[in-house]
Amino acid sequence: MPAIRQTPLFHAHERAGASLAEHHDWQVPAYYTWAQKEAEQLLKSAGLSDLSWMTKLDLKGWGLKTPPAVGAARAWCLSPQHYLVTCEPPKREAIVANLSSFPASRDLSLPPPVYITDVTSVYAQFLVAGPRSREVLRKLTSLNVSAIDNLASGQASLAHVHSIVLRDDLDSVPAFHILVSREYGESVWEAILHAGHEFELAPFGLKALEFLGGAA
Amino acid sequence: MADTSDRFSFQFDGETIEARSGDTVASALYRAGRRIFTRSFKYHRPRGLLCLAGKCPNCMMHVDGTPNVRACITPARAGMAVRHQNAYPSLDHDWLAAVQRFDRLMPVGWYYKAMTHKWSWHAAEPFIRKVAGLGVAPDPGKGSKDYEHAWMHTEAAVIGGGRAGLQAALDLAMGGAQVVLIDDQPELGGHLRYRRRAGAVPAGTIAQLRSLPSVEIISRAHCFGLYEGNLLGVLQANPHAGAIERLIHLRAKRVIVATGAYEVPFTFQNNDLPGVMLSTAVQRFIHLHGIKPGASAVIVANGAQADEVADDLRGAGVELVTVLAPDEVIAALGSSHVTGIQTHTSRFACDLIVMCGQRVPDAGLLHQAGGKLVWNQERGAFVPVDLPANVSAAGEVTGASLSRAMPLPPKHVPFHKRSFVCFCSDVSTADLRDGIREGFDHIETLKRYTTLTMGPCQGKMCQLAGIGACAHETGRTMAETGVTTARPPNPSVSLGALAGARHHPIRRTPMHDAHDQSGTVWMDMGEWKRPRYYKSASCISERSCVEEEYRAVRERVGLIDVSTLGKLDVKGRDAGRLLDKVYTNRFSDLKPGRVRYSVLCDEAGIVLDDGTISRLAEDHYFITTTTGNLDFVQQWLEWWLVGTGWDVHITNVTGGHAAVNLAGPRARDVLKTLTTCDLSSKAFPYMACRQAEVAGVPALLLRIGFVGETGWEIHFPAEYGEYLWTKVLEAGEVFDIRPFGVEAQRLLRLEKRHVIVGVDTDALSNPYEAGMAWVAKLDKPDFIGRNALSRQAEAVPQQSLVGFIMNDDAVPQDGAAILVDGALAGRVTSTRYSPKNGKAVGLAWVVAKAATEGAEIQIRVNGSMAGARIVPEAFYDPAGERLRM
Amino acid sequence: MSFLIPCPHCGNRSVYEFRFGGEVKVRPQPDAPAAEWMEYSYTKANEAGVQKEWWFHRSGCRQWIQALRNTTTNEVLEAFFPE
Repeated sequence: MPAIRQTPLFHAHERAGASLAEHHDWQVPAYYTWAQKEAEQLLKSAGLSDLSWMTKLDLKGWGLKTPPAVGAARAWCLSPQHYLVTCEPPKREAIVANLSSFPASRDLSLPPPVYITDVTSVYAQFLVAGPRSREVLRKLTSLNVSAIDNLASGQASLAHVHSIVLRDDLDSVPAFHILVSREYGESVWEAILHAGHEFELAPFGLKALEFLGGAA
Repeated sequence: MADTSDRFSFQFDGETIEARSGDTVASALYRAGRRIFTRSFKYHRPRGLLCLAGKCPNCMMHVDGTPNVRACITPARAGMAVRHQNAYPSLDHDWLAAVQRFDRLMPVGWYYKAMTHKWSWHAAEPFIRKVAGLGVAPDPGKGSKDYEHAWMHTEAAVIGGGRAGLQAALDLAMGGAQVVLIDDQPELGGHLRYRRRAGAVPAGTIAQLRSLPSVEIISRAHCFGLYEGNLLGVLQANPHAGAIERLIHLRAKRVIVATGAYEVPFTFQNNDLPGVMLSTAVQRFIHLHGIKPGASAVIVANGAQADEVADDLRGAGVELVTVLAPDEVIAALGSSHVTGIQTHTSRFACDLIVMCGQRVPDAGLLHQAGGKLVWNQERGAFVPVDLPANVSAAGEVTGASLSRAMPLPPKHVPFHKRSFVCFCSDVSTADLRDGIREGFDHIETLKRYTTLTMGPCQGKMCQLAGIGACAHETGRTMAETGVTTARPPNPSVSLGALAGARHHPIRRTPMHDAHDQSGTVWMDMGEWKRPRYYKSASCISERSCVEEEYRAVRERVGLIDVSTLGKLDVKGRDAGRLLDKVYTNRFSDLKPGRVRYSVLCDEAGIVLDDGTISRLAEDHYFITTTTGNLDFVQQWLEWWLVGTGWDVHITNVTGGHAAVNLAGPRARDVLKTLTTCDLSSKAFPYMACRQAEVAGVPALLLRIGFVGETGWEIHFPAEYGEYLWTKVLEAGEVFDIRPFGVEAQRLLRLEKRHVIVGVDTDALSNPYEAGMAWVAKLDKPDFIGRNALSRQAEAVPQQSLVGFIMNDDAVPQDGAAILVDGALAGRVTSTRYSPKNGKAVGLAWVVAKAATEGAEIQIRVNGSMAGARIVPEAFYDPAGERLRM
Repeated sequence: MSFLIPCPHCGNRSVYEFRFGGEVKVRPQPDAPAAEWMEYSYTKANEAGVQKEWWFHRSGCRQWIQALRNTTTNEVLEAFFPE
């Protein structure tokens, strides 16, 4: 595998003066100003981060009438027998191996219970987090974000683009992952920044995320 | 009393106006001595402040470039630039007021009667265009404002923050409901803020509401519509420093309308003079702005209704001249301002006429919701009844507390041409009488004929008086006359607010920045940005750049970004079965490692899309569709899957794959340096696919040939987009590789006579007439469109998609008309100048009888006809040898 | 028009999130006469009352559903995943 993988916001982060770092082969912003300041702004109001590097797996199949076994990773039900698994890159192999290992006693006249498609590259993934994150999002989408419980999801148009919204709070701080088809990444990022301006929403990088107890 | 501590100033028509914190633009101007605020629409009569509540048209001005702003409800801000509108050269001296002298030429509905000769309209129109209308539209691009939208969901929405609304909100919240309270004023309290006798503003209730997390209060917000499913349209002014207006889509399970009742004027001669005001306007002046509205006042009221405002006037130091009953008044006196009032018996001098008018329930939202407005004689008002489930009314809007200000229908209507009913359009009682006499005696037709209620106030000031006059003149009751239909938006909404944030989604390929750095001239393809062509040191015009790119592909090697292709990943045991069912071609027998082309038809045999489908494994296919049709194709496939129980799983992977087409006689030489995959035609023939690493990046290679040269379409993970693009260009440098854009691609494929669905086909095209008979495998037992296609296969074609070449130098445009023997015979779908042929070539639909090989056709070029010949073969390499090298 | 459709997966959503897919019809047998195919392709019952129809939740779960809607009041009585 060559070089470094770039998120759809790579050049936008460069233009914003972000300090980039390598993270599981991806080039991601470590910080824009400095980690503590970014974390504080998030805890005070709202923050936005580019998490497009997170592993995303699309699961479909008759075996998904019940939620799939993915350990500590998250499995989100997008529609009947259709799940999206999100996890940090190192966990990917184990999850795929687990989902693909069917019991030897399985009835071979039936198709495999789960089909996996790696959609890591298909989506741009952003995290909008903070006490005022819902107020930012309601300027962008008709989805009733307030009605989404922690670890629940919804799909709707956001900034005129079809989006998947996953709520995964950071401790008790409301946090929403926004997934849009990759080609819309820059467009939606700008729309979120614009809507968040009223609340002094600021981008935050990997260091701030780690500081807040997020991904590693 | 208004806060006098914070002082600032703004500009009005170049003059500096002093203002205080809490002032509206109108109150500051009034305090500074301004009395004329606008000129009326038709007669350019001087108009002054009437309602001070944003419900009449008399105070509309330009504020910071926005026209038709109601000065009486717009807070004044430091540095504002306010200008008058609808008067030239000034409000105090308007030359167009001379129009009044010609009022005999402009009776009601005059434009329906006066323009009896065709030329009269053409002569009058330019002049009417100049003088009609109010305000001037802002310059596009200059000083544009920021608007935004928001979406809210609530259990209960209360519209109106007066006494009843506040109580309703509190009761709901205490009952455990989540509540949104909407009020259009800067402070809560409704009319309690300025009508002292009605009671004090309930500060305790307000404090409680503000403390509850389940209650959200939105002030300075108008609810302009109540739509199906209890969707409320709310327009909030200045939600924060960065936005001028916010349009809120508020979905509520229950709606409580507590919008109160507003006051309307009486009808008498010159009732539109500056100095004639509603009593509530006077109360607002005194209690909200601390302004003495005049020196000496006459009150027009029905009995004891005068008492409250009489107290207020005395308290403000205004001399109270007398109190008159409404039917005693004949006329207001004065030319540009009130100087007195005339009754049947005498005349009184004054500079202020205060009308204690009838109060009308502000029930428009309830009418929109499906409620009925029925006449209540005792209340003197149309009150809302029969409300739908989940919509209720509270407070004065129900009409329960109202009392009659005057008899309705009136016993006597002074039909006079200066007795105004509709202030917005200068419609007088005489106009209404004339309209009724001309046969427009139903309130709905009278409205449309006279334009009563059709102006900026949307019927607030004039509907009741208009109904009264109509009832009186037709001898019907108020109930029989009825109201006109209330429709949203009321009040009006700016187009900027409807549009929202100036943000349009843009779709960028993973190589977008790389293109930007290399002289790309962009084009829009739907939401996608694609390189149209690339500028370089050696070419200047589009035509020369496109030709250079073309030559690179035909003679050496070129690289194009085709990441915009729609891509579907299809897995499952029955995947082949579904593809056989939905596409016209056969896919269940496609071997893994092979690629096949097909079209998709509907049950009427019409071509909907085409696709290139690769079989990657036993139960794994990869479909590419045209850029614009991906969504449709995915929905179509899913629809046919419903109810079958088949094991098929479709995933949209469009954004996940970057894709490029490397094409040209040297393409293999370039690709060889980047991959160990055997690229020889023996190991990797035309229409095959392989998975391999290219420059270390895992990729899917499809050997297909849209542009007609040896080439590979390479799909790889989008995060490597720029990396691989750069690597391929580096590897191709030694062969003088060129990136090429959409224009060059269009030309290259056109020379090969390759059809683009949706460009060369339309909603009437079937595969047989489009020359693609081979793509429909009628021997399949059943597939979508088979029935129609089998009939089309036997039928005589009506039209044919043919290739043509021009006889000489003319270059037609896409869409050009085709004539044969002087009759319309078809149209050109795609055409370009072909360097290979030295002439323009193209594709066209031509009626079947004229579509024979070698036939001559005439194509419309630049207004005249140019000759062309129909040719059956591709214009370049018809045998397809170049593809298979 | 702003009625709500109760998507069986997503709950109540505005009709604008959906793409209308036509009345629910029975597809003719492959060898049915042309007239039956024409009827199927082009003729609509256009019920004034409760109609069974297809909707695609394009700004939501992106699933095809069927709904029973009263075409005179726009009340959607039921929406479900068809079997």
